[in-house]
Amino acid sequence: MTDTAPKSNPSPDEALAATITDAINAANLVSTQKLPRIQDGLAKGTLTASDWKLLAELALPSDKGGDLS
Amino acid sequence: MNMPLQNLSVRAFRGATQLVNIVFEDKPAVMIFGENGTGKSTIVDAIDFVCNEHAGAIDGRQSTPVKDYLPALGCKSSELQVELKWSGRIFKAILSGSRAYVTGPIQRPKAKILRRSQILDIIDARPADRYESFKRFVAVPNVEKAENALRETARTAGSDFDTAAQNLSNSQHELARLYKEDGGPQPDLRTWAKTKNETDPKDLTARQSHIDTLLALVKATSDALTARNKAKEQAALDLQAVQSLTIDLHAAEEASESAKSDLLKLLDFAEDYLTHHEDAAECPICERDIDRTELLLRIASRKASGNQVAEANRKLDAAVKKEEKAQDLLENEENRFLTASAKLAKGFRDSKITAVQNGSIVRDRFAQFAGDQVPPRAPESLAAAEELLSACQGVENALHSERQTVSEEIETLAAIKLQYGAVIKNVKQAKQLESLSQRLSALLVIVEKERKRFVDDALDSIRTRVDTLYSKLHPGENIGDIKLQLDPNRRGSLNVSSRFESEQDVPPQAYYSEAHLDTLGICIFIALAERDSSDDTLLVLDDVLTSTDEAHIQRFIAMIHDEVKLPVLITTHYRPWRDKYRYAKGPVANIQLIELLPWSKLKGIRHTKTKLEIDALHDLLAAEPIDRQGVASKAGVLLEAALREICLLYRCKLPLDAEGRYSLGDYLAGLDSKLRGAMKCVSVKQASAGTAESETTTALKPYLETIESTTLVRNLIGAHFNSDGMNLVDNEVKEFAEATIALLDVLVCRSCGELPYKKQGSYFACGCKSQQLYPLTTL
Repeated sequence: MTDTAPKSNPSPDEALAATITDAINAANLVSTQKLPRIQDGLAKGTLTASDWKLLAELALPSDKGGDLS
Repeated sequence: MNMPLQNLSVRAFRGATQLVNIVFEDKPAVMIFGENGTGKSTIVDAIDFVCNEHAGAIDGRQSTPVKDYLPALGCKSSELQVELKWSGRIFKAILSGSRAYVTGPIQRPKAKILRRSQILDIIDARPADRYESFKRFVAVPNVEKAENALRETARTAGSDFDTAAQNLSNSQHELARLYKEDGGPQPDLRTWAKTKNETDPKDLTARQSHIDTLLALVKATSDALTARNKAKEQAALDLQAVQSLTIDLHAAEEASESAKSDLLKLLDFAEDYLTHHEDAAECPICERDIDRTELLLRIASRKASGNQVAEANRKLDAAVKKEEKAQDLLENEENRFLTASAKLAKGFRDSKITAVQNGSIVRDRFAQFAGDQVPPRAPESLAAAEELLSACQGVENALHSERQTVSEEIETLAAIKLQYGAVIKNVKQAKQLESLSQRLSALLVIVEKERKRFVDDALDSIRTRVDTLYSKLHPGENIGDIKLQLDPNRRGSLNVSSRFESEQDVPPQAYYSEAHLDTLGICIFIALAERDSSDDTLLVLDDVLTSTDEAHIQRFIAMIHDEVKLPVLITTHYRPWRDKYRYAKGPVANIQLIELLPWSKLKGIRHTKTKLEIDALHDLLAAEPIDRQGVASKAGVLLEAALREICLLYRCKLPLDAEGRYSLGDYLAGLDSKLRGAMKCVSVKQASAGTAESETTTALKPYLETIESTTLVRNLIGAHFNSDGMNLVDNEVKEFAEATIALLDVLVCRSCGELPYKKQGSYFACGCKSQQLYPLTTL
């Protein structure tokens, strides 16, 4: 029981989330605007399958159209 | 490194029956020495209580509820309070129910406390339990959860791509089949499909629509002809009926001469009168008596013969009217037929349909239908119309056949367009899904790789640190090479292995001695504590060392002061450890020594500053009159301790003694004249603001010779009862003590308070390397 919470170092999840986010950024796989969302989602475990899909889709180059091949 | 712990005040807590207040000096380490039962654990528990909100050793024990047993004997739980001052910040803890309630600034200090009872648990624990100690550094459940979600979506995207590729293959196959059915025209399928896709089907649909129109015209005209023929037939029948009924009327009229209409009307009136006058007894006209019933019967008989004519008349009238209607209908139907024929003629006349063009219809044969006007209703027109219809019906089958062909062409074109569109769509979709799948897979590779590397790095970092610490404690002993590995086959399971002699990767608990396991446990704990530390972390080692040999305790001291990166609070009941510092065999300048006095319920926990032997000698010398025996004895013991260390460093030759007991004379004799001549101490004064680094070199030989000339004092006064000692004056006793102090002043480092002992280049150095003792080896 306490009236205040002690400050602590980053948790392993938080530290690893930062490292992974840097690696994803270096690989240019996701829009830089979405990197904070990825880091937060990794650290908190809140990134769902649909979140990942959306993040990847948003980073895909737009398609100009189709052809037979 | 400073000691952020400044003050600890304990009241009514465990053994603290009286208020205990300990002021800590600004040194990186503090040692609280006390024999068993003097209150060491109470002090550690108090730190645990305020820093970690734990109740210390009794936490979690059902037999000793915190609420009942945390307060000191005879004290109430409401009296309990622990106050800690840490880097200027004050934290207070009281007991609330059975838990600590702490108040103070937001950033609370943390105490990493290792108790004696926990050491073996670290090593001897089951891998799963051991993992619990490590998991806060290596477990990443949130990242793993997100990684699993990524893995799932990557797998789904891969599956979606496979489906899209299959759909693409199917549509390409179907398009190829249509191409083949179309004869595989040049130059290739792609050109053909593109051309077909760009073909507008409106010509075909217009043609199909025109054929439908022609067929509808034929049918409409045919239906009109059928209706006209039916009307014509009905009109003929109705005319025949009129003629027949006319004959019937004439016959009825002839059969009843009395069938005049006026008489019938009179009879109707009479009948009506008698019917409505039931009491009539005489004729209203001739006033003769009548039989009403008989008269009514007679009137009915006379009327019956006249009704046949009336009925014939009525029927004839009706038949005439019907015949007139039939003629009107016939006229309408014939006009409708002629109108439909006119439209039919126009439709076929303007048609470019092959079946019509190739048919046997000769336009010139239908002059009546040359223009847009409907021909007049006349027998010749009707005949021509019938002939026109017949001619058109002659090409009806050809029209149906051509319509079928056109319809098939339209359907084929639609199928080609559909499949072409499907291929285009599927190609696009497959490309998108392939890109998505590849991107998700690339993300998964990164996340997996970084997670594994993170865990491996974390374990490797801890392992390296443990190994570093352990090698400091056990250099040259064929143990160490600690390895920490997650069990690949079990989740949350950590194995510890090490080297023993020539065997690698063996469990240390299988081969290591208890003392070696103890130190391994301590090293692992320190490594974990350092990893989980912040600026506000205190390492507490609660009575972790028991009996151990001198070499190991010396290395332990070196490890604590040279390697550990946290401020340390040590409690111990192990006197040799404490005395190492008292005799300058540890960096006493870097540690605060506190000594606990015997505990009693009345007096509680009491403490005092541990006095160094050299300080005790100074105090004895300052007293008046001096305690001659005390001075001689204290100086003798100090001198023996210092000379022993020097003899050990230089491996001096001393007479072998089975119990290792040597006198001052033995030690001094071991330091031969050659060595004495070479021995010197260099004190290095670090550069500070405005002053450069400086060195002071002092030869030891004069000090040793002075000592040697006065050692008799120790034997005569400080060690035994000897009457000769009474002949020595006080000044001779003081000279012996002062010579001892002078030697120690030269030998002991002024910075860390430690005798040189570590080989360093061409000399021995103290822990802080400010004091150098030459030479390095015996000459």
